[in-house]
Amino acid sequence: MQPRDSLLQPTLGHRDSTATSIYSARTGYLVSFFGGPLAGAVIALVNAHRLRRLGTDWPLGVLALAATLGPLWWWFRGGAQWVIAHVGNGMQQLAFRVLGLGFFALVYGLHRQYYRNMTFLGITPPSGWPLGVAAVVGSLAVNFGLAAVLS
Amino acid sequence: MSSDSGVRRDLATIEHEARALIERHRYSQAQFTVSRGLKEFPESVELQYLAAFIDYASGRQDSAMQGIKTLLSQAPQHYGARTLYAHLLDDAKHLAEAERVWIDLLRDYPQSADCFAGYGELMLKTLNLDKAQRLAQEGLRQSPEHPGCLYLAAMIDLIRNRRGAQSEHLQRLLREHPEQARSAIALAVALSANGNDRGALRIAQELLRHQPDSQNLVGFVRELKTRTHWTMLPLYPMRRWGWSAAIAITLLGIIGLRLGERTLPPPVFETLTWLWLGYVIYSWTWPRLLHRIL
Repeated sequence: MQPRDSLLQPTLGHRDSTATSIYSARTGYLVSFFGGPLAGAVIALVNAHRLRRLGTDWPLGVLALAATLGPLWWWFRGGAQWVIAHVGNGMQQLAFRVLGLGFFALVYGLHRQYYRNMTFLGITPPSGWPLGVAAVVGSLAVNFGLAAVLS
Repeated sequence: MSSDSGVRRDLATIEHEARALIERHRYSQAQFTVSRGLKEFPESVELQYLAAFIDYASGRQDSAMQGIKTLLSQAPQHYGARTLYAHLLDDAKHLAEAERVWIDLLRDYPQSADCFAGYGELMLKTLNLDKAQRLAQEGLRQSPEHPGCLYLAAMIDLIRNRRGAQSEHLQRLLREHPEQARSAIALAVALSANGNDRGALRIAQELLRHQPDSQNLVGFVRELKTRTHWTMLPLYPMRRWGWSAAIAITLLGIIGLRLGERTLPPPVFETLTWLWLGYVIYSWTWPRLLHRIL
């Protein structure tokens, strides 16, 4: 009886259509590419909030922070010389893109069923521009700040 | 006494005729029949419900909503009127209110598979997949071959599983209800999910011929026409492997050009750079443009 009763509990509460879709995978991809893991985490966590699964997805924020701080710390503690000596110049930007897109791949894997749900039901995602631009600008600012502190 | 039974028979005949026309999707004829009936029996709750249903099925949502509210003020427990009200609220994006109506209906009709399917679809539309699945399961427990619950369960299989075309629910839906438009829609979605967009397009176009007013179908056909357009051929990797292919192409392009900058003659390197940039821009812009054009 208990499981059936739980089915008859309201899920949507007093909220209406605003929280019935999440930011698209396209937004997540572009934001992660240009802004790195931190920016990708902003979109992922906002989506998690809209899906009411922030309690499950919050480690994504910690992971994004670690994926930003760890490489930066290593870079300014001798990693830069090692990379230049072994691979050459310009690898920092490439590593930043790889980390960003890797983070996006992880988030996409976690939220894939919701993206597919939206695709199959023809649900329109909210415009990703305002949040996407804010996430990229904010993330780049944090990255520069961290680089200044760690260097 | 005889005239009273004659009046009742007339009302029953009108209702029967209107229902038969609605079942055959002949809404303009059904509306004529119902309007004529309402002139003779203005107090008939059933005819008022059918009038609202015809408005709903014909896309006149405002008129249907007005009719159903009037009807519910007279007969608040009318099952059909309440389910139609829930669908209308759902369409009007009053989702929390629609949920309340579905829950009230399920409390009053705990064995109604229709209500489990209706509430489940609302949950699916609001991305509450787990609850939608549990509602579909409960509905199928009440009525194992219910088309609405089978459709819901098949769609959830497709969403959760890339190999959704092998879904047991989809197979049962196609086997038990081959005549239903929903079966065809679920099949088209399954074909598309498995990369057979051309097959899906043929089914969707056929459905659209029978339901030319369906905005959902129009959108689905447009999407499939975009995906099967010949100009989308260069984007096959993205269509086939999705975001994994987009990530691979982006990163391989950046790494390849970085290596090429040192090893290739400048004209070759520049040509390759422009080709790659062009491809990336094409992949991000052309599908959207094409979708608007088609």
